[in-house]
Amino acid sequence: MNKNGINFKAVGKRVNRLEGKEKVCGTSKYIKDLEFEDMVYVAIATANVAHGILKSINVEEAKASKGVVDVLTYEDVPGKNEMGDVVADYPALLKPGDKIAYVGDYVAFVAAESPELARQAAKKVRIDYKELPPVFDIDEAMRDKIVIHGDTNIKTHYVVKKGEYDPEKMFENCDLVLEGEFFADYQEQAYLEPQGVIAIIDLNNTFTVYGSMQCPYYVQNGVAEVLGIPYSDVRVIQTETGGAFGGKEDVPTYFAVPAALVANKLKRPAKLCLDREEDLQLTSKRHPIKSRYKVGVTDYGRIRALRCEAIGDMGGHGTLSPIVLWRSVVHAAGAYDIKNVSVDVYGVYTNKVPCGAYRGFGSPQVFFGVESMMDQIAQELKIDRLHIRQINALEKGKTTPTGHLLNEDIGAKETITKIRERSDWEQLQKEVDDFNKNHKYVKRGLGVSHIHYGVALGAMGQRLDASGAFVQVFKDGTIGIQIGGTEMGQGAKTTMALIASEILGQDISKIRVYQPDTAFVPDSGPTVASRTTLFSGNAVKLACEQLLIKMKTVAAGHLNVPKENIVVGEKCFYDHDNPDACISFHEVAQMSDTENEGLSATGWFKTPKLHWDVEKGFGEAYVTYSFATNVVLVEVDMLTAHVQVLKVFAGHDVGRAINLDGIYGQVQGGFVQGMGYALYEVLKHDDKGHLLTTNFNTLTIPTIQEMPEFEIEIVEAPFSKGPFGAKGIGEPSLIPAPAAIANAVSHAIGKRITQIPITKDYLLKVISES
Amino acid sequence: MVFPRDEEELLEQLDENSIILNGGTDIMVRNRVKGLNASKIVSLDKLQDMDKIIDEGDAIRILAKTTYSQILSNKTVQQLFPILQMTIREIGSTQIRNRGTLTGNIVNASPAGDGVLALYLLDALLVIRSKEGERTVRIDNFIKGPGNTALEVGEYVHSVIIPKCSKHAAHYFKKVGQRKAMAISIASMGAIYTLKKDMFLNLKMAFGSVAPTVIRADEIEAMALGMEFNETTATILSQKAKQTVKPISDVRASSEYRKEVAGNLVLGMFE
Ligand SMILES: Cc1cc2nc3c(=O)[nH]c(=O)nc-3n(C[C@H](O)[C@H](O)[C@H](O)COP(=O)(O)OP(=O)(O)OC[C@H]3O[C@@H](n4cnc5c(N)ncnc54)[C@H](O)[C@@H]3O)c2cc1C
Repeated sequence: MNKNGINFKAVGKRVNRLEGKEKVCGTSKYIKDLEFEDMVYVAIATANVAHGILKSINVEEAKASKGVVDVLTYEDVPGKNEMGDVVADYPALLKPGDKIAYVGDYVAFVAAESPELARQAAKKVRIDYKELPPVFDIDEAMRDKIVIHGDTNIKTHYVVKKGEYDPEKMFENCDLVLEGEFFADYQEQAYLEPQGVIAIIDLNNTFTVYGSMQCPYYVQNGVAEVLGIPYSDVRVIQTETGGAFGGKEDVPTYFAVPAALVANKLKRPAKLCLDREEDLQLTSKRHPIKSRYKVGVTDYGRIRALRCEAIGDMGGHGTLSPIVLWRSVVHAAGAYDIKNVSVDVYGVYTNKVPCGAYRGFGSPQVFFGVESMMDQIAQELKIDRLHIRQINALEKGKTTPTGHLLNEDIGAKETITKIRERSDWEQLQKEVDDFNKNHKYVKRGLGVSHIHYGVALGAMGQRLDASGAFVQVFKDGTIGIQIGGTEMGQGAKTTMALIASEILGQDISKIRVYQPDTAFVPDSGPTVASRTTLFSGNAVKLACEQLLIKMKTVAAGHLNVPKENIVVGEKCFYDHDNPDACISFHEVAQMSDTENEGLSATGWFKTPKLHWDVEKGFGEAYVTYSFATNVVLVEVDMLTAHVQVLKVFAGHDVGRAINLDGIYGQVQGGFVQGMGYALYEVLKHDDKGHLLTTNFNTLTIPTIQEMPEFEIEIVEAPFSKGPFGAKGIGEPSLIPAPAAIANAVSHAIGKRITQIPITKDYLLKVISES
Repeated sequence: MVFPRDEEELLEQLDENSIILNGGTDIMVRNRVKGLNASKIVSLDKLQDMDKIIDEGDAIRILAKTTYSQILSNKTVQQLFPILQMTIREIGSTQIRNRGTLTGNIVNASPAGDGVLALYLLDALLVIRSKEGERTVRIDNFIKGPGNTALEVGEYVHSVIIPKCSKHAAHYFKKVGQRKAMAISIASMGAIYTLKKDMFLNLKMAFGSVAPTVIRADEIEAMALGMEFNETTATILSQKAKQTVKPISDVRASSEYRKEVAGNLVLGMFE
């Protein structure tokens, strides 16, 4: 029995990951491991100029280059020459007259007998262009002196307006009004496995695309549109994926398209696998966001009014930016009960790599801003930093900053209480003070952050928010599950197996969760937005419940009792009134087969309807919210500005912990990735728009040496529509980290940090400013 | 790729088109990034008896193939050359230290070379051999600039000779990297000094990553003599350090940061 008095068979158990052994032993097959006969290798020739108009393309030299089979240009695009899932302003191949919007825009695709030969030839593609002055800076882009697409660089503008939002009046009844400006820069997803795809003409004489990806359906749509062929003729199978973090949401389409175009023209399998340098230069990053905050509070720390204006750097193409920045707008006011809210978030084009999805999707940047404000206010009012969050936190009956009335229990406040206890907060603060009194050049600091996170795609993404599953029980009692969501290292397969195991009673070692295949499960939307446990999980649950009815009927027939009497046990079914009358799962499966029961079922879960007013940015933004609180202890070397995170207390309301080890893994991994953002990972460009930090030599991500000590508290406030009450944890694990770390560093040095990553350069400047 | 088994075979192979592959931890990276400017790779892998540390009485000799891990576990080094221990411990990771060598660090001639910094402080001598014979060069005369050394065609670094220093000397090293491990130094400082009645009897100080090569801070060393080991001295020497170093800006850090930190590293030594 778990602590809430519910008796679960599988849910909440600590189990080994389904695909763990193969991954650890190195026998898993990734895209690079797949080879097909007669395969060609694709390399991309890019524009290499940040802003301009393409005049002509010369592929003669590239074509004559050793090992080259063909070089494709815009004339080889049979369908729509555009890519992008939300904004389709990304040409698959530039044609003369087109705008070059960043150095990585595609000019030609080279197909050759080896990847090296393809790369060599790609360098020989020449273009003639009219160069235009580029714009790299957010503020400069806002001024619209240089315009990249259309007649303004401002592609999106979303708002949230609640209560009194007139900037002149909204702060009238506040005792204290504080302002702050913040900048959160790029972050690279830094997945272990670079992007890669293979496109082949398959047994059905249609296209099959294999690849490392989060969203097979995006790839299916993208490839079908650019090739101008029916959706039925593109089948996408996800291969084992070595991490994604949002970086493989829309981006794999931009590599599947070149591979499919080559396969289409040459009628040969085509493979395109990036090396690290190509991957870092050509793929999306977290949006740099500048934010300006003004927050008004009462003298005891209740927030009365919050105003935020933020601008996100979209890069050269729109791609997913609008929905990313919509998430920024919804989360910008923080996880609090605030009467008067006014948020404006703009997205601007610049001549840099298109930004896109990254774990947290536009929210870590604004939480850094709002949570810095919270610490500052607490400091100003001399209020305890956990307390100020506690008195403003959301709970049942309150409304979110978008006016979403929360009518179910949530665990926001409990994450704060639990972290206060677990960290021994008062004592911890005293210890830090003592340490600092005794150390001159090393200072410790404590940081707090509290966040909420909308689970799934939300009001603006309802069109895509549904997921399917297909489950079958084989006659030997094993189970096969096919879902539309993907495993990319986060543990989705194991979670699905636990859900099936909970319903059907079968042991998870007998359950296989297959690689997603668009031919078998309907479009289930993307595996993003911390939605897979909720959406695919519910779909699996619904399918299993149908199977359960069939299996109970068979079991009842065998045990000669009414089927209402049948109870699911561990790997068996038994009579409720006579538990000794029992039949194994395996036997029921076998009998069902003999009796032609057909033990297969589909499940389909779609989003509960959300009401949202786009103009005002008001209403039910997401189906539910996960909540988290972090307390972080850091140590700052005041001489070198080196920061080390020593300890983390992380409290997470996940609704229900289905895969407990999976959650611990997410919380640790997510925090460390957020720590990389806060402290280590800097992307630098030269003045021509080329990325300088093109590999992990200079783009330093945390290693095992940087791992802090973790204390994790799981709060379970079940969500009525979640599978067993589950919400999501994938992204909430990362989101509070940068804010808490920045606050801890501010505390340690006694000055306010206003930009992340907190580079040594920046931090030493802040420390030495008197 | 060729695999000489003894010195004679090795010297036979060295010419203007060859490059030596020792532990490979620099070469492999360079090869991937920009390729090696050589048609023949001369691997030291099969070379016999070249991974030893020999006690020669008033000095120790570290032969060309000796890895960092071997140096770290050597008793004499542990007792007499803490600075070598301190710097090597900060190099890469265990995996890198199991392959990387001091001679590789020297010939790679990076201003960020941690092993090299220790050798500057220890006034190490390099034994260079070729078919023509042997010559001995002091480390600071050998390294000319980033990736640039006094090594001539046909020569290789046979060994490093480190004169033994006073057992009473204090050793200090601090390196700033982008993160704790697996990080190239952004700035570093090492020192060996002896105090008598709290006054500097002698001081050797070297900085890494703040000039085209590792540098010895001659002026600071001279200034310090006779000064008291206290905060006032710390401030004076720290100011001097900021004036002495001539760092550049690169993707890892700005020159301003490096200058400031060079001074701060001196302060840190007095803590
Ligand atoms: C992940 C990683 C982390 C690293 N971290 C650090 C660090 O923290 N600090 C640091 O200082 N370095 C670091 N390095 C660099 C490298 O490990 C060191 O410079 C190491 O000492 C090189 O030794 P090697 O034997 O591997 O050299 P190799 O790569 O084999 O050779 C390096 C150069 O020296 C030449 N050479 C080698 N031996 C001889 C010889 N006997 N005679 C003549 N020429 C020779 C080679 O031709 C080549 O030009 C790191 C490298 C990596 C990959």
